[in-house]
Amino acid sequence: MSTLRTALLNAALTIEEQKPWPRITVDADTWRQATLAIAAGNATLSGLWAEPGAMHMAVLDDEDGALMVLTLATPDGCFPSVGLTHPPAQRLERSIVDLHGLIPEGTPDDRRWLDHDRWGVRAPLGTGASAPADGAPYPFLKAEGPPLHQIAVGPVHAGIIEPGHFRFSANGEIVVRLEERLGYVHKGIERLLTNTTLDAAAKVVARVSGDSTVAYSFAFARAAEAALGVGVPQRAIWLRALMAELERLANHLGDIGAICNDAAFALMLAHCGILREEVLRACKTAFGHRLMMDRIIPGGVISDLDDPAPIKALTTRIRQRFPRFVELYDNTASLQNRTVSTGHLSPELARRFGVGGPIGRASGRAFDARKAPGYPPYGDLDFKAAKREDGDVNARIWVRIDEVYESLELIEQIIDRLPTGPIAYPLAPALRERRVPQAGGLAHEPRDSASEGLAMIEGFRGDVLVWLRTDETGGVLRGAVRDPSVFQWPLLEAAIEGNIVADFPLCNKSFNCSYSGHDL
Amino acid sequence: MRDAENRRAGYVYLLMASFGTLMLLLAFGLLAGPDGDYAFSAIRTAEHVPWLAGLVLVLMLLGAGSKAGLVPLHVWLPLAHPAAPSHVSALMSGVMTKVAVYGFIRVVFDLAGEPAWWWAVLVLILGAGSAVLGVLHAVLQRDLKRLLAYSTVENIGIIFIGLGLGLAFKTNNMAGAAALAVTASIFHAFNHSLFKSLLFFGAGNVLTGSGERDIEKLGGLVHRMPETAYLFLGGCLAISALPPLNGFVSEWLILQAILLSPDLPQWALRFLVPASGAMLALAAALAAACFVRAFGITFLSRPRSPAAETAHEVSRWQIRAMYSLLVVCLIAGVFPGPFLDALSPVSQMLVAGAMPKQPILPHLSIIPISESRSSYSGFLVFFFIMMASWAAIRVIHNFASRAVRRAPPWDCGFPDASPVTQYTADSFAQPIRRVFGPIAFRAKISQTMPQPGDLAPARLTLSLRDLIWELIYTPIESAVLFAAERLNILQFLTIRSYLSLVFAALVLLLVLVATWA
Amino acid sequence: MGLILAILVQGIQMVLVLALAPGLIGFTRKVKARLLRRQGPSILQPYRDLLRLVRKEAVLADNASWLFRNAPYLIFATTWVAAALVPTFAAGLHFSWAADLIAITALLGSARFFLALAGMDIGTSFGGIGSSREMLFATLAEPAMIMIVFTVALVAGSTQLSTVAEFMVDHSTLRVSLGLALIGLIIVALTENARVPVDNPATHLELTMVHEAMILEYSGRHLAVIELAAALKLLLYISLIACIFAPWGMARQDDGVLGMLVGVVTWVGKLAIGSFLMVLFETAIAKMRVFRVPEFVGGALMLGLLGTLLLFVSRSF
Repeated sequence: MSTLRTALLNAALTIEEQKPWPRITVDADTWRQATLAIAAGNATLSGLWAEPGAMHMAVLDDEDGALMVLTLATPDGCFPSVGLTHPPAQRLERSIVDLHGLIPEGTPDDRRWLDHDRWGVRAPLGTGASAPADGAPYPFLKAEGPPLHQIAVGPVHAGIIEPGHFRFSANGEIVVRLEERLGYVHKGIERLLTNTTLDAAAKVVARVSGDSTVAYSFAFARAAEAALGVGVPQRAIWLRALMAELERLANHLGDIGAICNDAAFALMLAHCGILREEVLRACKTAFGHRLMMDRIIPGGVISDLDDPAPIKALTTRIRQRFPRFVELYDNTASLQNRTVSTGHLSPELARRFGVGGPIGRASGRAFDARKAPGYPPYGDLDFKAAKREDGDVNARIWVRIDEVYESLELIEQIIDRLPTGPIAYPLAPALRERRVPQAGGLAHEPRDSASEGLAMIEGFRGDVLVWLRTDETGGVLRGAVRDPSVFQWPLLEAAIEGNIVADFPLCNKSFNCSYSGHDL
Repeated sequence: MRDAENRRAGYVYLLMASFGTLMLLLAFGLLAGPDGDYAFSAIRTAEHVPWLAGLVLVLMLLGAGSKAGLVPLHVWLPLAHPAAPSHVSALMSGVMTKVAVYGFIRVVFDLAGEPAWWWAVLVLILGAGSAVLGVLHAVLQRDLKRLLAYSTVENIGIIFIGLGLGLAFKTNNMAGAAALAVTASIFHAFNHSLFKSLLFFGAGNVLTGSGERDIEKLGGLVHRMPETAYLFLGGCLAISALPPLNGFVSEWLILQAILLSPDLPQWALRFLVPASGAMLALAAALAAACFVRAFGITFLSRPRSPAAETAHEVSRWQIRAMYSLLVVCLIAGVFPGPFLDALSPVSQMLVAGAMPKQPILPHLSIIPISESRSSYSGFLVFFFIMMASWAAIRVIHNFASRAVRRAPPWDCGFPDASPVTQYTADSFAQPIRRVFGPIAFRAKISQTMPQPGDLAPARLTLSLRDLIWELIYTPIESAVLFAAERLNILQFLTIRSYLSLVFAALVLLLVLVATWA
Repeated sequence: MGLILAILVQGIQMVLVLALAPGLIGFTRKVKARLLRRQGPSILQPYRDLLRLVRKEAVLADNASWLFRNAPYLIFATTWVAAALVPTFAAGLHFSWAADLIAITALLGSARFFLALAGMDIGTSFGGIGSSREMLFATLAEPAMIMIVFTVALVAGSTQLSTVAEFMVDHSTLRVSLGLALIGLIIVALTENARVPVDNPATHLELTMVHEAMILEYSGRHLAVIELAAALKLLLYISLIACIFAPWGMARQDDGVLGMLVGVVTWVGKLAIGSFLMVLFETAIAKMRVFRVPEFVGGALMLGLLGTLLLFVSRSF
């Protein structure tokens, strides 16, 4: 346990029951100190969310991957800005301002973010005062120099991708500044996760970002299980990992092809597209849904793997064919010329923003939630997290290639060692009781009142964070989710430095951040 | 600001003009020979020692070259031409530079006697250099008139390429080829005086109508000054050497002349001529880019300033004057035959040869050498283009649809009417600056991009330094300054020292005169 | 009689290039799809697309000028005239004296000039991107083309394409200079036709486009006409390469109807082979960085110049 965590625990006003990591309420001074410590690089900011009257900040201990949530009461609607000293928090704070109306004191950036002036109200989760649109244009950040032009791309793109606006200030092909304007797919996830049933909440969370539905369901299930103290059968734990790896495999294959396609190398997209399709079909056969949506529920999984043969056949086929495509990538000089040294993200920035997933691992940040904090069954599995230092598009492709092999390895291990037994424990009786695993079985304890759970799962983009507060009947009082893209998006603005306009699509695709997961 | 610029332009003009005149005087002095008869007929009949004739060529290149705007003596031109009122600029760029060309042709082809082959080398190198450097500067200018002035440098270069070819053929007694090159060159000089005047008038209209000549502040003038736009576009097409206008005909003839040069015996010329052909083609292509940019930024897209938004068309008479120029451009492009025929006495006199007589019929085409080698019919090309577009419009409108709906332009779903969301002139030229810039400039680019979360403005700084200033003029300038510093002590001598200096100078002169005689 | 026949052949040529051009595009798309293990649309799809487009109303931007409305027809007309003057199935076209190869290059330059201006007319950043890149590439592609023309003209003794074609049929020999010119011409053709690795005709990424970015604002019949001009240009370049470097099978002036038929069949075959090879190359290569293209096209310029210089040294190269 790092000194920071010890110090924070000592300074805590109260320590709340939150599983598996504690949540502490702190005063404004401790909050500020924690912020400074994060900005100094002693810990990583992992999440920032609000509820009426309180702010929560999830802090990741870089030493052992343990999390801690800091809570600050905000009786007067203000809190000390985290973004003032730690820029990665800025967009999260701007979202909180837009949704809750809480004011971050001293924030450098008071522009609206999620609120595009179309809601008719301000702070819908706070006062909800009605406010007619003022029509003021969004003030983009400045760029100076010889006559520059701006390129406004999106939110409606020519391709079938999610909406987001990008504003380039450029001199010819030289990009002087890139600024993102997101928030077009705001769905009100936070309100949907307030005072609802566990089932409804599970459905909502599974749909936060459709391509990571397994990771989200996984995280939600673990958070709910932690909050409710519910156990999960071994077979379900292993099946969950199987689904998570299949999802990662499918998405990485798709990404590798799509990145190459943005360099007009359609051959790779064709090959990888076929492989991805085969993965999805195998998933459909094995679990009844191509994307395995809603297959993981609190307490277990809903579909069992009756016959592992299709999955085995799948891994064999991919192992036969994928190396050829890797070789094709490696031997096509014209393609390498596009990816090598393009879109460089410095390890320093990656570390400061705590960016996870292939983007972080391509820039030397080895963080992988499967290793640390870690969750079952990965402790029993043999794998190593891919890592590269170059931080360019090429490195991001190679990390994905390595992870495809790693996922294949994991899938094979899981299939070989899949335990037998039930795939889910009934959740219903546990709702009124607390079930605590003990030596020799499960003990039942009466439940008292609200309880909280926190879970972090490694999706294909990086670490997904879900926080949940449930009441005594198993209903969801509040929930918060944080997509890995939240910390990846801002870095895309930095990765374009030194590149030309025409290389942006390649940089963007190599990041492949989620719009939906970011806009919530 | 503008005054300071004008003063500087005036100063540089004064210096270069005196320098050029000095060179011309010296050249004439050498030509006149010992008898000192300056009549053309006397000079023509006088015997010229080869090295002296060579010296005359060099002096003419320096003298006429500086007046015409040949690189590297062009530096005054882009400063002086735009500083004048636009109709005067038209006169300076369109006509006055041609006077220098005339002087050069008169002396070098007519008066200086038999040319040596290395004359052609010199003229070709300077011509090709002027063509490419001139247009490279032009493509980066944001002052419309200065852009046109630099384009004059380019066209003077093209004319000199033609003259260089003419010299090369003349020295090797290839009269037909020499006639082709010289005719093409003079035809181009004629064409240039037409379309450059047209363009300067257009720039003048823009200045009158909007009060701006910085193209970064213009845009959308096609709606407010439609006739000027129409005429300026014609000038742009002509100067970019696009068929069926006249600029293409003269450049095409020069290219045809180049194709005759493998028969040249000198190796240096054999290598140089195709290279200058490549330079000519490069200059023509860059000119097209330059004028797409000039017209596109000035007249098309959306207004970039209130001045452009409130611009108004100029008076009828100004427009009519320009129409007459455009019509001549078109005639010279579509029916170039008579123009070439009219030039044959000139080429007969200069190089003792002429192009074949251009047939008026059957094809209205021009033939540089012989029909089997190459021919071009501006009329038919013009006619076919008109017929084909007319046919396409008729067929589609009659048999398919002619419905039109107006709608806002595609904005990717993010309406932003600000004029900054369109290309600037500088942005348009940036790729060319990056690719070709190192030929003409020393560029320094530095960029600061704030990290995510830093709201400070991003900054791009760019400094372009003209290599010709840096490599030629700056050293001369510092040498002059250095010498002036040293000579400064002469101001503070005693009367006795002055007297002895005068005496020494007198003695030196007497000795010189004695030995010369 | 001979004159009527000559004009007839010229007329057939004009109609044929127009009729076959969309089919050529359809064929390249089909081949590309098959190489990428897709079914691909029918070869006739471009015809259907053009028909659909001309029937639609044209949507013009609010601030579109007369230049924007007229440019498509001028682009089409200049390209069509240029394509009509390249000998395809028969050498010795009647109007070939109207414009030689340099003039054909310049005609395409005119088309490009209007296209680049049309791209800037509306005042969107995409149009500017396209025009600026197009003009950059053209600054090298045009001189490269001129130098290639020089090489060919020095071998054949004429810049007149019909004469060149007849000369090549009679004296087809392997020459270093022609080899250089061929490679250069292929590079120029790829650049001029906005193919991979210079541009990507299939992309939807506005920021990477060249040709497509310029015509982003066009719709309806205007778009149809521009698409047709683009198809004509591709046909023109493949025919040009075939006419200079593989003139076999081309009908001579005095060949009868049978000779003409043979000429047409071999020409269609050459188009198929040429476009197939192009697509094969496209599939195996990624698009270049924008500032690599000048090196690529500059290579063509150097090859052309080298070819010309070799011929200046000795006519036998």
